[in-house]
Amino acid sequence: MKTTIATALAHGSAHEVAELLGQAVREQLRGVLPAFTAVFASTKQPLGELLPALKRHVGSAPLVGASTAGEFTAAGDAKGSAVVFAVAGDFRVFAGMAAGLRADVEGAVAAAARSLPATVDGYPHCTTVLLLDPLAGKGEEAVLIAAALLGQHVRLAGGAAGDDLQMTQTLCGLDAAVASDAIVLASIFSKQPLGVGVCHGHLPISGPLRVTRAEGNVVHEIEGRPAWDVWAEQTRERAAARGVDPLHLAPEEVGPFLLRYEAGLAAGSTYKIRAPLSRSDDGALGFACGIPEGSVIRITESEEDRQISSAREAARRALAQAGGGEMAGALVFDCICRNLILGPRFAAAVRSISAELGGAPVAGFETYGEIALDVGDMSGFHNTTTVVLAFPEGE
Amino acid sequence: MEPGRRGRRLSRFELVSMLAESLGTEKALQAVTAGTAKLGLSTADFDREEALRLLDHLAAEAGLVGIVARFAKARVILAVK
Repeated sequence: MKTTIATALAHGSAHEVAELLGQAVREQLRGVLPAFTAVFASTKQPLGELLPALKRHVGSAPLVGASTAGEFTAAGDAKGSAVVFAVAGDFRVFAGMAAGLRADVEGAVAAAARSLPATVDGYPHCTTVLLLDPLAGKGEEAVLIAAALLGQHVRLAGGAAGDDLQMTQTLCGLDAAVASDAIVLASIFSKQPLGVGVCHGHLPISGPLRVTRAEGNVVHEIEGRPAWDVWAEQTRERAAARGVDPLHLAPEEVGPFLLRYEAGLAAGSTYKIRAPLSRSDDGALGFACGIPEGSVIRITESEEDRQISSAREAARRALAQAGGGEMAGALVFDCICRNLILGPRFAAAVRSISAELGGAPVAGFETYGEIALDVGDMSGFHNTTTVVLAFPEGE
Repeated sequence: MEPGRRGRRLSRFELVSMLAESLGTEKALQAVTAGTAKLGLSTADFDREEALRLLDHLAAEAGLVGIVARFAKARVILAVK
């Protein structure tokens, strides 16, 4: 059975958007019900209203969702909108959701994974889409626990929800249920492997800096000083070149500033990027996952061209992993900070992903963290990356 | 993980690299160094039981270090039989 993918982006109220997206799915899938649907919505379309309204259009197969910081298809990117990605074909999809990440990450992930089968006869490949609330501060922890519970044969791809850079509440949902502090897992069993590609384009702009006081996902001090003081000092020169003074940021400018200058953990020949999401009054920085005391970070930045080429590279890697044939389409999780860096060129980066996949439809959202864990990987939570989950067209 | 006359062994570099993907090289190195010193293990390489003992020790730490060590332990169990 050939795989068919529907993608669409719509503006309006949650109910208007549900009608428009539902209609697009029906038309593009030619009346076939999807095996799996994902919807990603800005804060203008409350997920608690959108999911139940869209569920009526897409049938009984799992519908997952997340709030966003931006939405896109191959046709372009937008703010204040919602986007749908629906796939029809020979798949078996099972999903679970649980809240309580912050207080008990292991318990929440186990609860979400409880109803997921380990194997499905006749469908030898499994890729699990993982959505989570990054403000719970357990990004990497949740991904590693999910990978351990689901088994070493499972690939993970997904994203951390956004909230239009308000940094107040990020939501995930499954079917009609929506929650913050939550995780959603959707295991897609397929006859052919799906492709997961990930790449980032950041480089360090500071020397090594030791985290000298941290608790969980909150870094209080770097080199014995308030973390923000060090951040502002290390980024002042680069920011000044863009006309920005980190010591004189309005409250609403702090989040975007931090997402532009992220932490890099040296890991072999590359850097694992960690995004600071918030700054407290005492200068502590809150991250989307744990940063242990004693970690050594470099503050990083990226140039526009590297962000475009890294998106293309992520698509190339996904294509290779999926076997290199014709692609039906791809679900894309792309960091909001890439949009902040690229501005109007962000749409070109999305188009380049589609172009690498032979012009296949793509849809996705701008995240506060990206998830990609391949068989054998030891880490699956990323920042400032593009994650591409490609679906082969099949027979 | 190289097979050898004494069975498959895991080098310190391999173990640090496994943890470094999530923790960064420096923190991973610090954790492995502290763990080997505490347990009185060789600092060069480890047999399966030594590696698991070290990861068990790190797994008792709170937060991300403990979770990463538990994940690495599962991978070592599967890879080094």
